[in-house]
Amino acid sequence: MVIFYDWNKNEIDIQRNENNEIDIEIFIRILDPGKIAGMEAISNYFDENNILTDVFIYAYENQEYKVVVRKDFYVDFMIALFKYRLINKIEWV
Amino acid sequence: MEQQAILAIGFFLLTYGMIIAEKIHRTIVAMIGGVLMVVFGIVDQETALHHIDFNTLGLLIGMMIIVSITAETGLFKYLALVSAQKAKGDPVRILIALAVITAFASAFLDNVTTVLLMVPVTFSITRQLGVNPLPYLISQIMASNIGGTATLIGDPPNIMIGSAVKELTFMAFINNLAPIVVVIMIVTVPIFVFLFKKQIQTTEVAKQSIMKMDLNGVIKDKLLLKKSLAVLTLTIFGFFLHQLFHLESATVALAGAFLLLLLTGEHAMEKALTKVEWTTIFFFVGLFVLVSGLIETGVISQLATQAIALTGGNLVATSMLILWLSAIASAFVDNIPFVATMIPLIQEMGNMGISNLEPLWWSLALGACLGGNGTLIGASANLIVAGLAAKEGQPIKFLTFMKYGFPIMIISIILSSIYIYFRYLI
Repeated sequence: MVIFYDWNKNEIDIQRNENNEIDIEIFIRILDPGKIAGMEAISNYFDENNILTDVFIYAYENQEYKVVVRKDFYVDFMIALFKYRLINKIEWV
Repeated sequence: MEQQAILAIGFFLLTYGMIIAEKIHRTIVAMIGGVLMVVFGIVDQETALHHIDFNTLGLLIGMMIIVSITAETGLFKYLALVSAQKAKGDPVRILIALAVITAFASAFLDNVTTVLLMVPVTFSITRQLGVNPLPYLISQIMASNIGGTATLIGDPPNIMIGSAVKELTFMAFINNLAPIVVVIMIVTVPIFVFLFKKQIQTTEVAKQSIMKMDLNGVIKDKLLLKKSLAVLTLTIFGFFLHQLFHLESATVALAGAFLLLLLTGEHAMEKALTKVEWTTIFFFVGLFVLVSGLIETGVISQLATQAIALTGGNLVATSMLILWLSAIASAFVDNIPFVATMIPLIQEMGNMGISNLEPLWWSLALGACLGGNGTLIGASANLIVAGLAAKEGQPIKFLTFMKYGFPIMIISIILSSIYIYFRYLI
């Protein structure tokens, strides 16, 4: 089973790349400024938890983010996106 | 030898052995060792309390509170990322920059705190570059032990020595140790580059991804940052002047810590106090009581007599013996209990006629601090980084670390020997 997720294309742009055997790379661009706080909250959460290498979020100009997610924490990251309403649907298919 | 002295040696060796074995947490072992000294009447409780050095404990607690609040602001992450951009994303330059930042921060904060602040951002930068984080972690461990040697507050052995010998002020540590520490760093950093250059190659795209990062959001609380930096600066300034105002370094650190808590408000206090490493504080308490048993029963004075007999009371021989013995011992056993034992021993040498103890104190400081680089178990910072790296699937093996650390430790002790000889002994 894999995770299927969906989002509002007017609020956020998401592109996923398989980076290597360990990581998944996700590029996120926030289009709706109201969603920036959610992205920052996710970044703070993964910065402050006890696992140092689970998710790295690198911020760039124009509300663009590169996210490097360890494969074993992919579900946790997607759930965090869902929790802060950056995606509006998540399910196993 | 009196029965009490034999009992004291027995408890001391048993405790030391169990600390080295690492089967039970060293704090529990040290506290039980200290309690045994009191329970068996080797020292009474009142005497034991007098041997607990509040200055060492107060200094550690004060600095831990200040640093834990400052870390909340994101300052250390910001500094590391700015330096990575200044290095133009080049992995070798970043290795150098992070090692230098670690060494400098370790001089003014304790080593464990410094590496705890540096490791997360190191993982972040190396993942961005797609390079192995281990060369960075190993070079930061060594830089923290070298940098921490430079000041009174940089490394627990120096805190203990500075606290035990009132003439050795904050400025005295900087004047006497910082010059050789700078030389050791200048020699060591190119060695890091030579050793690790091939392991940290990256692509131009990865370098650009570092350069383009937007650092605006890295500082999370600018008001807290201003308050923290003001208090940290005031505290370090206080260390420079503590002798002028007849204040102990613990008073300066605790004054800074509680001033910052006053400025940040009550809500920050609970969190800041939980960040104090109470296990380390109680480890010190146990060791002070443990060593008090050896002092009160005359064991330390016997050892000092024998050490003087071995070197014939010759200052050069005694200094070199202390420097090399401290380095080798600190590479394999925790340097904190070692220094706790050596301090009364050197004081006793003073009572026995060695008039100029200064070279002996600097030999002890250099040996005990730099010796920590010899092996992975040589210093607390080494173990903390190794533990974090292993948890993240990047274990630092004992022999891998020793392959790099032991030669660097030997080079730094050779440089220290030359420095001690030419500055104090001719």
